[in-house]
Amino acid sequence: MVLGPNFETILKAARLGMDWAWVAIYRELGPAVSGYLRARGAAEPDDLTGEVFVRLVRDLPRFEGTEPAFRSWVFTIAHHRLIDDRRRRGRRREEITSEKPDSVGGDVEQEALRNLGNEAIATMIKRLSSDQADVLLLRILGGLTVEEVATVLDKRPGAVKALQRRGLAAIRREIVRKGVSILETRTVT
Amino acid sequence: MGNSSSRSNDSFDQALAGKVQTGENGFDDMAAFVRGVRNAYLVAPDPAVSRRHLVAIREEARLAASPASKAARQASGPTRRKRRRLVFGSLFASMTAKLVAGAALAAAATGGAAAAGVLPDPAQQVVADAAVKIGIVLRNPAAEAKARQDAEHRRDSLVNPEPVNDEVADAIENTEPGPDRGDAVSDAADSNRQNENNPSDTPSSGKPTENGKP
Repeated sequence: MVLGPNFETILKAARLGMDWAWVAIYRELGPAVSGYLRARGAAEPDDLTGEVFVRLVRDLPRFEGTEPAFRSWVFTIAHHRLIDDRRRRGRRREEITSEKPDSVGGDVEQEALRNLGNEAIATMIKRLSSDQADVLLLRILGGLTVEEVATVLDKRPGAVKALQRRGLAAIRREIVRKGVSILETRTVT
Repeated sequence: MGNSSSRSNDSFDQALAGKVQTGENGFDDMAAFVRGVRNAYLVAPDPAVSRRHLVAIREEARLAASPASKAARQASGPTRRKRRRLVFGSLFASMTAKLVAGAALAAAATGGAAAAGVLPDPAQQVVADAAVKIGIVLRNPAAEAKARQDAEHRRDSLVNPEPVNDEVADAIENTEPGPDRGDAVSDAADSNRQNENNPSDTPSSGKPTENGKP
C-alpha cells in the first residue's frame, strides 16, 4: 500500500482539506475504484468514480480506522454507488456486462495481443455471477482480504470464500473450454 | 473436488500476493488471470478525467473543511460526546418531565379538591379567589355558610317579625275589626314613632338619629 506509514498524516491532512492529501488518496485508490466500476459494467465508470470520491470527501469526517479499513470503506462506497447507478438506470442483471477494458497506446503488435487478452478477461468476468465477479474483482483490483470483501458486500466471510471458490472454478472451466491461454496476457506486460 | 477447490483458493491467494508458482496445472492459469485482470482494468485514468476528478474533489474538500459545513455537519449528526450529552440530557429531561407531571397532578388534585370544596378554609379561599380571576367559580364552604346564615336570619325575621309596640298591640286587640281598628292602630303607631324620635322619652339605644346626633 502506497499510503503506508503516512496514512494517518494523509488522512488528517485530507480532513483539513489539503489538496496534496487528496491527490495522494486519489492516485492510490482512483485506478482501482475506476477499474472495479468498469469491470462491473458501470455505464459511466469515470463519472461514477468522480461521484465515489466526492462522497468520500463528504463522509471522511465520519471515518475512523486503519488503512485497510479505509480501503474497505472506499470500496463499500463504490459498490453502493454502483448498485444505486444500476437501480437508477433500471438495468437488469442480464444486461450488465463488463465494459471492454481501455486499450493503451504503444506498439501495434503488443497492443493487439493485449486487447486480445483483455477481451478474454472481460468475457470470463461476464460469465461469472454478479456476486462471484464482485468477490474476485474486489480481491484482485481492490486488494481486499476475504474479511474485507465480506464487509463491503455485507456477507459472511464463509459465503465470500464459497463465492470465490465457485468463481475461480468457473474461470478455470472457461479457460479449458475456450482453450484460450490467458497466459498470453502475461507476455504483454 | 474439495482438494481442487482448496488448491484454487491457495493458488489464487498466492497469485494475489504476487507469488507465482509454475509447473503445476492451474497455478499458472490463476496467476495469469490475476495479472490479466490487473493489466486490463488497473490502469491510470485518462489525464483529462483525473483533472476533472481532482477539481471536483478539491471543491468538495474546500466545502467540507469550511466552518459553515462543519457547523451543518455537527447539527445534522451528533458526535459520540454529543450523544452522551443527549443521553444525560434526556435523563434530565425525563426527570423534569416527571416533576412537571407531578406538579400538574398536584395542581389537578388541588383543583379537584378545591372544586369539591374540601380544602381548609384559608386554602380554599385562596384557590377560589385565584380561580375567579380566570373565570372559574369554585365552591367556598365558609362563604356559603355565612351566606346561608344571613339568608336564614332574613327568613326568620320575616317569619317571626319582632313584636309590635304594646300600644299598637292593645289597639289591635281592643278594637273591633273595621275602620275604627285601622284608625286606632294607625294612631298607636304614630304615637310610637313619635316616642322613638324623642330620645328624652325613651332610653338611648346609642344609634345615631336622622341628624347624625345620638
